[in-house]
Amino acid sequence: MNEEEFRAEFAKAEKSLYLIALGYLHGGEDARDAVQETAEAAFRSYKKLRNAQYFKTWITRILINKCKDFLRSRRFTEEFTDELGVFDAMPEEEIFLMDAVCRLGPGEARLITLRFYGGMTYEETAGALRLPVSTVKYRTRKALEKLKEMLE
Amino acid sequence: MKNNDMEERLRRHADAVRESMAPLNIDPAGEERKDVKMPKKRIGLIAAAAIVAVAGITAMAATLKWDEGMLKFLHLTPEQAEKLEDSAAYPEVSVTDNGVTVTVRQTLTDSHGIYVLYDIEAPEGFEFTDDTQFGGAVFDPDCGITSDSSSTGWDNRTLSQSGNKRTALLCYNTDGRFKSGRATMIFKDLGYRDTEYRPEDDPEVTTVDNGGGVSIQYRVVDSEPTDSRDPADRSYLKYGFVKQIEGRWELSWDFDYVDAARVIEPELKYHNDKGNEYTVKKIELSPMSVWVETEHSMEMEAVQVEPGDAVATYTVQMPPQPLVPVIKMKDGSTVKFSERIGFGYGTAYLDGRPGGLQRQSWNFEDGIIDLSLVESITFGESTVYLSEE
Repeated sequence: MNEEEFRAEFAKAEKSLYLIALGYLHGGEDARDAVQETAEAAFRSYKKLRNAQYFKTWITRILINKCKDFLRSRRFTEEFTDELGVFDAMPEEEIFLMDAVCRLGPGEARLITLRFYGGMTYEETAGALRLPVSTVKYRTRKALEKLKEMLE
Repeated sequence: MKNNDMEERLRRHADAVRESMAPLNIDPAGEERKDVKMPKKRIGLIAAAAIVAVAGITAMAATLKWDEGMLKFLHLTPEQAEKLEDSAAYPEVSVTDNGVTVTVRQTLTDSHGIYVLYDIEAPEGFEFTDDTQFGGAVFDPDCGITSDSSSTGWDNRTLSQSGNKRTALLCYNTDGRFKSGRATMIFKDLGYRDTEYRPEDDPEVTTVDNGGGVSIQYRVVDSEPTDSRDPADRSYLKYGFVKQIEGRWELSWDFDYVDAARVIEPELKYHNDKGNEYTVKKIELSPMSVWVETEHSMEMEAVQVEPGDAVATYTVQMPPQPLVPVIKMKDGSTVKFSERIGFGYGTAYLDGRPGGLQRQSWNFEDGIIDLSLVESITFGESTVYLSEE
């Protein structure tokens, strides 16, 4: 992968990465910082990524670890906040649903975030979280049930 | 609402969120790329020095058999190049297929990297452009790379091209360690890449098992299916390859080099600003590069998966960024690393060891360094001094 390809792939993934970070951190400002740090870390080592096909899993894995670093050092808030105004134009019902996702348990919120905001398959989600695919499927089903209950 | 309905609702929701999101405008280069303004009064002096250097390169390259472009790309003076003659080889192997001739002219090797200079000459009338590339390329240095978990990276750079001729440099490095041996380079089809987005419901969009998990790809006839999904607009990026000249060019040659690296095993400990402790296990300092192997502990977290399943243990923290070594020369100056040809660093996870192993590899901005003039190498607050040999 060369720099041009890296930048193109990153530009495509940027929003999804931000949403994943939001699923972990809930705060918009922290999420942006995490994506920025992820971008810089990935930029320093993208030449090591020989197969561009795995870009999404690779950079998501970096982001997840950044988010976990953030969670160790910063105060975690359950409530979803949009300090940067990134979602100013978003319809209210979508904000409500996003808030509900954030209110799931941390493990469930991460699965839903990766799968839907990150556009990942079960296999990719399992790879990013280093969990068995069967576990990811089971937990996702449970998370969907819980989310459904919250919305009904 | 059924689970399937909930899934569909979330998909629509994710699309709506991405659509309504304001751009984040994140620059991956971050703070690393800052324009540095040079004082105007120095420009004349530096330009004069550059002219002298180019004239010197032209004169010396003829006697050295080195390509001028390679000297320039590696920032080597002819005098420095002369000192690397033991690391250089001139295979002059050539192969022709379908009117295209590929010739390997020179290699330059150190413990962890090899440069391969080669020419391509296509039939009259063919025009090389910046987009011209091979449809497939394999470089296999079957020369005993030794490492418990080596990985490799490589890149092709065009040094010069005009009409139907191109001179290019293959830059290859490995976390393992080179030995002298036989190398093979294979190219397939000459042409250019053509990209376009295809809708999700395109009949040629298909699901394939790529060995690392199932993914969705756009299958391109007569080309490698290396497409990736664009999550933003739910379409698929097609990387098509347009062949201009079909062919297969395989070249093999023996190469030999004298390893000039100084190997130090300092067991040096250092910390980063987050308090992570590292131990430098090995430093290999060669005239062209420095390679560092560092061990560090990793935080491991036991995760209890669903009842009935076994306890799965997985790493929850990527290793922190390695500290870039500072190489100090005896005259008090420090060595600058090249961003053009530096291969960066990689991380290996070793089976059976509760830790991470990082291997960094850096090339020097100013060509090569004289190892006898190196005083010390510093990592954070810890320094290892090199003894006289």
